[in-house]
Amino acid sequence: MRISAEKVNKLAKAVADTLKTLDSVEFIEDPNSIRAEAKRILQDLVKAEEKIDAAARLKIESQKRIITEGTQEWDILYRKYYNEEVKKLGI
Amino acid sequence: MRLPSTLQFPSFAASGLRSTKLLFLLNSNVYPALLNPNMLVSKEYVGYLARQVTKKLIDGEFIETSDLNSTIERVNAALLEEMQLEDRINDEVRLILEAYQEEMRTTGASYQEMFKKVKQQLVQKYKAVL
Repeated sequence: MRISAEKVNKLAKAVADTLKTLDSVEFIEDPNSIRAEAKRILQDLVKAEEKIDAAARLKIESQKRIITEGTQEWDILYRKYYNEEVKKLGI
Repeated sequence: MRLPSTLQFPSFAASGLRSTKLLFLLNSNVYPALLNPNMLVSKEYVGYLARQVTKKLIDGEFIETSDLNSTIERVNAALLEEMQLEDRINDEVRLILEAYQEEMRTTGASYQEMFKKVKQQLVQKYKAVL
């Protein structure tokens, strides 16, 4: 999993903390339940994103020559192919 | 055209990209990728996450909002900030290593290994979750 469970926790907390600061938002459930639900939703969405990541990596691996991950060239190609996959989903 | 200093690092030179190819990349629409090359997911996907998590919390009757768009915008900003944490750390690592570029070249130090070590130190320093 590219985004760790710990990171999803941090993201869910960021969502709940942000919602708490907004005057336009009213909490129907308690803050802990909202954070837990945000975590569950984000986990599902992160799983979907992993497919996009895998497709982008596969495209780089299928190049004629080896491109090492961590190089600027790899980063450029990864973002290019990643965005192509995102567009396919109409996001 | 003057190249950004980060593109003159040994790892980039070792990648085999010629300057003509580099100029093409800098002038093409993939240039923005250099600004946030390592973010966990793209900005577009973060926007999607923000919309989905907000709408699902509303549909599940966990929250109500009188201003949906503003709520999504704020959630998006919060998610982006957390997602870009690794980028900010990577930028700092590059700046640190840039100062030692000549020394690394003369000693034959591996840029990738040094990058990992310095990054790990910064992650601990900031107590970051990547």
